[in-house]
Amino acid sequence: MEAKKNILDYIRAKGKVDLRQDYAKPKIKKTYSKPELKQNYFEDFTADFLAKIKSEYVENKPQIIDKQLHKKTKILILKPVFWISSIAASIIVIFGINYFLNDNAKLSEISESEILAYVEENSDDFTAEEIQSHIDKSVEKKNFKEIDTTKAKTNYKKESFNEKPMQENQIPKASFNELLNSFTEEDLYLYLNSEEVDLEDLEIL
Amino acid sequence: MEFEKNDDFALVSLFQQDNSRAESIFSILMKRHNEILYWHIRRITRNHEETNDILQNVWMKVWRNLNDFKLESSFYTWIYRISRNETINFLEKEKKFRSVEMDEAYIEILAGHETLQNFSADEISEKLQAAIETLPEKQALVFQLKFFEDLKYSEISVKLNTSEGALKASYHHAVKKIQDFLHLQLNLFQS
Repeated sequence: MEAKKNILDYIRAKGKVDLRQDYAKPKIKKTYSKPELKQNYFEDFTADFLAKIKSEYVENKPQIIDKQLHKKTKILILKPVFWISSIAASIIVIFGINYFLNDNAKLSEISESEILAYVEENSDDFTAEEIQSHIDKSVEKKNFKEIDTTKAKTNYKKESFNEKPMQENQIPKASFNELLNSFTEEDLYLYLNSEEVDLEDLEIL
Repeated sequence: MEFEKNDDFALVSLFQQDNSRAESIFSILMKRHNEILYWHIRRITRNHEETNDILQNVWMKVWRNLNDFKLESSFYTWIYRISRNETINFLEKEKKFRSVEMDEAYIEILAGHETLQNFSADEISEKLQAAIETLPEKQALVFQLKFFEDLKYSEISVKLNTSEGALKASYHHAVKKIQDFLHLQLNLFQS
């Protein structure tokens, strides 16, 4: 079972190992000689390198200081594409806001009578559906506002007065009778009918 | 030299503290590690001129960054990492234009393994280098110092600032992985 043998036992590194005399196994390939290097190569290399950094070190020093200074006064340089588009976007935003504010201001400046006069003059231009939908929207808005106001008022009352709600028996008797008298028999009949109340079920009748 | 007895850790600390003696401290570090680093690079490039250029770049990087070196690993582990990256980058750049005369393979095949005889030392060298590249950094480092440089565990221990027990374990794992890689690459299981 050759595959199970330690393959690295048959591979030897050249170089320092070459100097060893106790090779147990014969080599197949021709004996390797470590590539020749110039005598004192490593000493010369070190000396040359140190001479090089000595000259560069002095030159590099101001560069390091420059770098630090540059850090403090760093200026962000944008490409033309970025600053042109940034300016364009800013202008659009400013004009947009201005237009929106002016529009609302102009509307609030017009009085109700002027608006009514305009509508009366140009009533032919509006269809019944348009007017109806506009009224609906206005009513919705108005209701919404009223609810908000009521809420605000209620909160205010709760905090300040803690008033009790008016009880039914607190309604003045005279006005209650007036209210009942204002209904005709027919009105009552129609109301009960709309509420699907069978008249025979009512004992009073 | 006054600093020669100091270990790498102490030298690097001194270098970082005292700029006035930076050169003499650096020269000790260079003398201590230059030769092993040279052969480590040359085994990959298999060419003296390229090795010389890469080695210069490596030491220049070490010089420029030694002040920021955090001493979290041993100095040799750090410069080994730099040299490995520099060599790989260099060869990547030069790949298309490379027409250098390459050294003989840095390994030799011994008698006794029938299948291995079917391959040239060059082929095995390439596969072995590829196998080393798959190893984690520490294992690759220990393997190279032991297998190629034939250093004792005690010597490697000083160089890498690691216990001998940990080094033996690393070497054992590295050998196992390299064997598996070579068996797979050379289709030795089929023979």
